[in-house]
Amino acid sequence: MTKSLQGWVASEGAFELWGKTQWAVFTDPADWPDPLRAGPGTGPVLEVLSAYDHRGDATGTGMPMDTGRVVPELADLTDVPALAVTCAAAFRDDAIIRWPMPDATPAMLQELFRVILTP
Amino acid sequence: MLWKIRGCDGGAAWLPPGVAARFAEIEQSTRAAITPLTGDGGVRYAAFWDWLGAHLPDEPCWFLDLVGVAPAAQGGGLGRALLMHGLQRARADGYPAFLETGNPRNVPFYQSLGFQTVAEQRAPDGGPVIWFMQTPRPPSSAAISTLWP
Repeated sequence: MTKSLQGWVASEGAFELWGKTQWAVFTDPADWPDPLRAGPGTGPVLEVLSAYDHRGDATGTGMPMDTGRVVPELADLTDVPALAVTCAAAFRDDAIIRWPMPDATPAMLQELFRVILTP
Repeated sequence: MLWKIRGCDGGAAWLPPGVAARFAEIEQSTRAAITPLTGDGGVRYAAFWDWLGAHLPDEPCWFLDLVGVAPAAQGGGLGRALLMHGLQRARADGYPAFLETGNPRNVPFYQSLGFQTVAEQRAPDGGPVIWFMQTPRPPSSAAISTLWP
Protein backbone atom coordinates (compact mmCIF):
# COMPACT_ATOMS: atom_id res chain seq x y z
CA MET A 1 0.00 0.00 0.00
CA THR A 2 2.70 2.48 0.91
CA LYS A 3 4.63 1.72 -2.29
CA SER A 4 1.53 2.25 -4.35
CA LEU A 5 0.55 5.49 -2.64
CA GLN A 6 4.08 6.81 -2.74
CA GLY A 7 4.10 5.98 -6.45
CA TRP A 8 1.05 8.16 -6.89
CA VAL A 9 2.63 11.07 -5.03
CA ALA A 10 5.75 10.80 -7.17
CA SER A 11 3.89 10.38 -10.45
CA GLU A 12 2.82 13.07 -12.84
CA GLY A 13 0.31 10.79 -14.54
CA ALA A 14 -3.45 10.88 -14.38
CA PHE A 15 -5.17 9.06 -11.56
CA GLU A 16 -6.67 6.40 -13.80
CA LEU A 17 -3.28 5.52 -15.27
CA TRP A 18 -1.84 5.15 -11.82
CA GLY A 19 -4.76 3.10 -10.58
CA LYS A 20 -5.13 0.54 -13.34
CA THR A 21 -2.20 -1.63 -12.40
CA GLN A 22 -1.86 -0.71 -8.78
CA TRP A 23 -4.54 -2.79 -7.11
CA ALA A 24 -2.31 -5.79 -6.48
CA VAL A 25 0.42 -3.55 -5.11
CA PHE A 26 -2.02 -1.53 -3.06
CA THR A 27 -3.56 -4.60 -1.44
CA ASP A 28 -0.34 -6.54 -0.84
CA PRO A 29 -0.53 -7.45 2.87
CA ALA A 30 3.25 -7.52 3.09
CA ASP A 31 3.24 -3.82 2.33
CA TRP A 32 0.53 -2.77 4.75
CA PRO A 33 1.86 -0.04 6.99
CA ASP A 34 1.84 -0.65 10.69
CA PRO A 35 -0.69 2.07 11.52
CA LEU A 36 -3.25 0.37 9.29
CA ARG A 37 -2.69 -2.99 10.90
CA ALA A 38 -2.91 -1.45 14.33
CA GLY A 39 -5.88 0.76 13.59
CA PRO A 40 -6.09 4.54 13.23
CA GLY A 41 -2.79 6.34 13.58
CA THR A 42 -0.64 9.07 12.16
CA GLY A 43 1.91 6.96 10.30
CA PRO A 44 2.82 6.74 6.62
CA VAL A 45 -0.68 6.12 5.32
CA LEU A 46 -1.95 9.38 6.75
CA GLU A 47 1.14 11.19 5.56
CA VAL A 48 0.83 9.82 2.04
CA LEU A 49 -2.90 10.47 1.81
CA SER A 50 -2.39 13.99 3.11
CA ALA A 51 0.27 14.54 0.48
CA TYR A 52 -2.13 13.28 -2.17
CA ASP A 53 -4.89 15.59 -0.99
CA HIS A 54 -2.52 18.53 -0.84
CA ARG A 55 -1.22 17.82 -4.33
CA GLY A 56 -4.72 17.58 -5.73
CA ASP A 57 -5.70 20.88 -4.18
CA ALA A 58 -2.53 22.58 -5.28
CA THR A 59 -2.43 21.49 -8.88
CA GLY A 60 -5.95 20.49 -9.78
CA THR A 61 -4.62 17.44 -11.58
CA GLY A 62 -6.10 13.99 -11.48
CA MET A 63 -9.61 12.68 -11.99
CA PRO A 64 -12.21 14.56 -9.95
CA MET A 65 -13.73 12.22 -7.41
CA ASP A 66 -16.96 14.18 -7.07
CA THR A 67 -18.61 15.27 -10.28
CA GLY A 68 -20.75 18.08 -9.01
CA ARG A 69 -22.17 16.12 -6.07
CA VAL A 70 -24.78 14.59 -8.35
CA VAL A 71 -24.42 11.21 -9.92
CA PRO A 72 -26.12 10.07 -13.12
CA GLU A 73 -28.60 7.25 -12.80
CA LEU A 74 -29.77 4.82 -15.40
CA ALA A 75 -33.06 6.05 -16.81
CA ASP A 76 -35.97 3.85 -17.79
CA LEU A 77 -39.08 4.16 -19.94
CA THR A 78 -40.96 6.11 -17.30
CA ASP A 79 -38.30 8.84 -17.48
CA VAL A 80 -38.58 9.33 -21.24
CA PRO A 81 -41.40 11.94 -21.22
CA ALA A 82 -39.59 14.17 -18.71
CA LEU A 83 -36.26 13.73 -20.48
CA ALA A 84 -37.94 14.59 -23.78
CA VAL A 85 -39.10 17.89 -22.28
CA THR A 86 -35.59 18.56 -20.95
CA CYS A 87 -33.93 17.79 -24.28
CA ALA A 88 -36.47 19.77 -26.31
CA ALA A 89 -35.68 22.82 -24.20
CA ALA A 90 -31.93 22.18 -24.22
CA PHE A 91 -31.76 21.73 -28.00
CA ARG A 92 -34.29 24.39 -29.01
CA ASP A 93 -31.56 26.42 -30.73
CA ASP A 94 -29.15 23.61 -31.59
CA ALA A 95 -28.23 23.38 -35.26
CA ILE A 96 -28.23 19.57 -35.37
CA ILE A 97 -31.84 19.51 -34.27
CA ARG A 98 -33.17 22.74 -35.80
CA TRP A 99 -31.65 22.69 -39.26
CA PRO A 100 -33.46 19.54 -40.43
CA MET A 101 -36.66 20.69 -38.69
CA PRO A 102 -36.69 24.50 -38.92
CA ASP A 103 -40.41 24.87 -38.35
CA ALA A 104 -40.75 22.44 -35.45
CA THR A 105 -42.73 23.73 -32.49
CA PRO A 106 -41.70 22.97 -28.89
CA ALA A 107 -44.32 20.22 -28.81
CA MET A 108 -42.90 18.72 -31.99
CA LEU A 109 -39.39 18.80 -30.55
CA GLN A 110 -40.65 17.01 -27.45
CA GLU A 111 -42.19 14.36 -29.65
CA LEU A 112 -38.93 14.08 -31.60
CA PHE A 113 -36.99 13.39 -28.41
CA ARG A 114 -39.64 11.02 -27.12
CA VAL A 115 -39.09 8.96 -30.28
CA ILE A 116 -35.29 9.22 -30.13
CA LEU A 117 -35.05 8.36 -26.45
CA THR A 118 -37.46 5.45 -26.47
CA PRO A 119 -35.42 2.23 -26.67
CA MET B 1 -27.80 3.53 -22.41
CA LEU B 2 -29.93 6.43 -21.24
CA TRP B 3 -28.77 8.26 -18.14
CA LYS B 4 -30.54 10.94 -16.15
CA ILE B 5 -29.28 13.28 -13.50
CA ARG B 6 -30.92 15.24 -10.67
CA GLY B 7 -34.34 13.94 -11.45
CA CYS B 8 -34.61 14.57 -15.17
CA ASP B 9 -32.86 17.95 -15.23
CA GLY B 10 -30.36 16.38 -17.58
CA GLY B 11 -29.99 13.32 -19.69
CA ALA B 12 -27.43 11.62 -21.88
CA ALA B 13 -27.66 8.77 -24.35
CA TRP B 14 -24.36 6.93 -24.59
CA LEU B 15 -24.16 4.12 -27.10
CA PRO B 16 -21.60 1.43 -26.28
CA PRO B 17 -19.51 0.11 -29.19
CA GLY B 18 -21.83 -2.76 -30.14
CA VAL B 19 -24.82 -0.41 -30.33
CA ALA B 20 -22.90 2.49 -31.90
CA ALA B 21 -21.96 0.19 -34.76
CA ARG B 22 -25.68 -0.17 -35.50
CA PHE B 23 -26.36 3.57 -35.21
CA ALA B 24 -27.50 4.00 -38.80
CA GLU B 25 -29.92 1.11 -38.50
CA ILE B 26 -31.28 2.39 -35.17
CA GLU B 27 -31.58 5.98 -36.40
CA GLN B 28 -33.38 4.92 -39.56
CA SER B 29 -35.87 2.91 -37.52
CA THR B 30 -37.08 6.16 -35.93
CA ARG B 31 -37.71 8.03 -39.19
CA ALA B 32 -41.25 6.86 -39.80
CA ALA B 33 -42.28 8.48 -36.53
CA ILE B 34 -40.20 11.61 -37.13
CA THR B 35 -41.15 12.33 -40.73
CA PRO B 36 -44.61 13.73 -39.82
CA LEU B 37 -42.84 16.25 -37.58
CA THR B 38 -40.93 17.74 -40.50
CA GLY B 39 -42.24 20.18 -43.05
CA ASP B 40 -40.91 18.46 -46.15
CA GLY B 41 -41.82 14.84 -45.71
CA GLY B 42 -38.53 14.15 -43.93
CA VAL B 43 -36.31 14.83 -46.95
CA ARG B 44 -33.92 17.26 -45.26
CA TYR B 45 -33.92 15.25 -42.03
CA ALA B 46 -33.03 12.03 -43.84
CA ALA B 47 -30.25 13.61 -45.92
CA PHE B 48 -28.76 15.35 -42.90
CA TRP B 49 -28.77 12.27 -40.66
CA ASP B 50 -27.46 10.05 -43.43
CA TRP B 51 -24.54 12.47 -43.72
CA LEU B 52 -23.98 12.59 -39.95
CA GLY B 53 -24.17 8.81 -39.63
CA ALA B 54 -21.53 8.39 -42.32
CA HIS B 55 -19.05 10.25 -40.11
CA LEU B 56 -19.07 7.76 -37.26
CA PRO B 57 -15.61 6.24 -36.88
CA ASP B 58 -15.04 2.75 -38.23
CA GLU B 59 -13.21 1.71 -35.08
CA PRO B 60 -15.29 0.69 -32.05
CA CYS B 61 -16.12 3.60 -29.78
CA TRP B 62 -18.59 4.83 -27.21
CA PHE B 63 -20.85 7.29 -29.02
CA LEU B 64 -22.45 10.21 -27.23
CA ASP B 65 -25.73 10.29 -29.13
CA LEU B 66 -26.99 13.27 -27.14
CA VAL B 67 -26.56 15.13 -23.89
CA GLY B 68 -28.96 17.80 -22.75
CA VAL B 69 -29.55 19.84 -19.62
CA ALA B 70 -32.64 21.93 -18.95
CA PRO B 71 -31.82 25.63 -19.50
CA ALA B 72 -32.64 26.52 -15.89
CA ALA B 73 -30.19 23.87 -14.67
CA GLN B 74 -27.33 24.69 -17.03
CA GLY B 75 -24.03 25.87 -15.58
CA GLY B 76 -24.29 23.61 -12.56
CA GLY B 77 -22.04 20.79 -13.69
CA LEU B 78 -24.79 18.37 -14.70
CA GLY B 79 -23.63 18.13 -18.30
CA ARG B 80 -20.05 17.59 -17.22
CA ALA B 81 -21.13 14.85 -14.82
CA LEU B 82 -23.11 13.11 -17.57
CA LEU B 83 -20.14 13.37 -19.92
CA MET B 84 -17.63 12.08 -17.41
CA HIS B 85 -19.90 9.21 -16.51
CA GLY B 86 -19.79 7.92 -20.07
CA LEU B 87 -16.13 8.75 -20.53
CA GLN B 88 -15.23 6.69 -17.51
CA ARG B 89 -17.05 3.73 -19.00
CA ALA B 90 -15.34 4.19 -22.33
CA ARG B 91 -11.96 4.34 -20.64
CA ALA B 92 -12.72 1.30 -18.54
CA ASP B 93 -13.68 -0.58 -21.70
CA GLY B 94 -10.54 0.59 -23.46
CA TYR B 95 -12.40 2.49 -26.21
CA PRO B 96 -12.35 6.11 -27.36
CA ALA B 97 -15.49 8.22 -27.15
CA PHE B 98 -17.02 10.10 -30.07
CA LEU B 99 -19.57 12.88 -30.50
CA GLU B 100 -20.96 15.30 -33.06
CA THR B 101 -21.91 18.87 -32.22
CA GLY B 102 -23.25 21.77 -34.20
CA ASN B 103 -22.78 24.28 -31.40
CA PRO B 104 -19.40 26.05 -31.52
CA ARG B 105 -19.79 27.16 -27.89
CA ASN B 106 -19.70 23.51 -26.83
CA VAL B 107 -16.43 22.72 -28.58
CA PRO B 108 -14.16 24.14 -25.83
CA PHE B 109 -16.29 22.39 -23.22
CA TYR B 110 -15.82 19.04 -24.91
CA GLN B 111 -12.12 19.78 -25.38
CA SER B 112 -11.84 20.33 -21.63
CA LEU B 113 -13.02 16.77 -21.18
CA GLY B 114 -10.41 15.31 -23.50
CA PHE B 115 -12.21 15.38 -26.85
CA GLN B 116 -10.26 16.50 -29.89
CA THR B 117 -11.79 17.74 -33.13
CA VAL B 118 -11.18 15.13 -35.82
CA ALA B 119 -13.21 16.90 -38.52
CA GLU B 120 -15.06 20.18 -38.96
CA GLN B 121 -17.36 20.15 -41.96
CA ARG B 122 -20.37 21.97 -43.26
CA ALA B 123 -23.36 19.74 -43.87
CA PRO B 124 -24.53 19.46 -47.47
CA ASP B 125 -27.07 21.83 -49.02
CA GLY B 126 -26.06 24.78 -46.87
CA GLY B 127 -26.42 22.94 -43.59
CA PRO B 128 -24.67 23.86 -40.35
CA VAL B 129 -21.01 23.36 -39.55
CA ILE B 130 -20.58 20.19 -37.51
CA TRP B 131 -17.63 19.33 -35.30
CA PHE B 132 -16.78 15.65 -35.04
CA MET B 133 -14.85 15.02 -31.86
CA GLN B 134 -13.16 12.01 -30.37
CA THR B 135 -11.10 11.17 -27.31
CA PRO B 136 -7.78 9.40 -27.74
CA ARG B 137 -7.87 5.65 -27.44
CA PRO B 138 -7.06 4.80 -23.80
CA PRO B 139 -3.66 3.18 -23.36
CA SER B 140 -3.76 -0.60 -23.32
CA SER B 141 -2.89 -2.56 -20.20
CA ALA B 142 0.41 -3.45 -21.81
CA ALA B 143 1.22 0.20 -22.37
CA ILE B 144 0.36 1.05 -18.78
CA SER B 145 2.49 -1.76 -17.43
CA THR B 146 5.50 -0.21 -19.15
CA LEU B 147 4.83 2.92 -17.11
CA TRP B 148 4.49 0.86 -13.95
CA PRO B 149 6.72 -2.16 -14.34
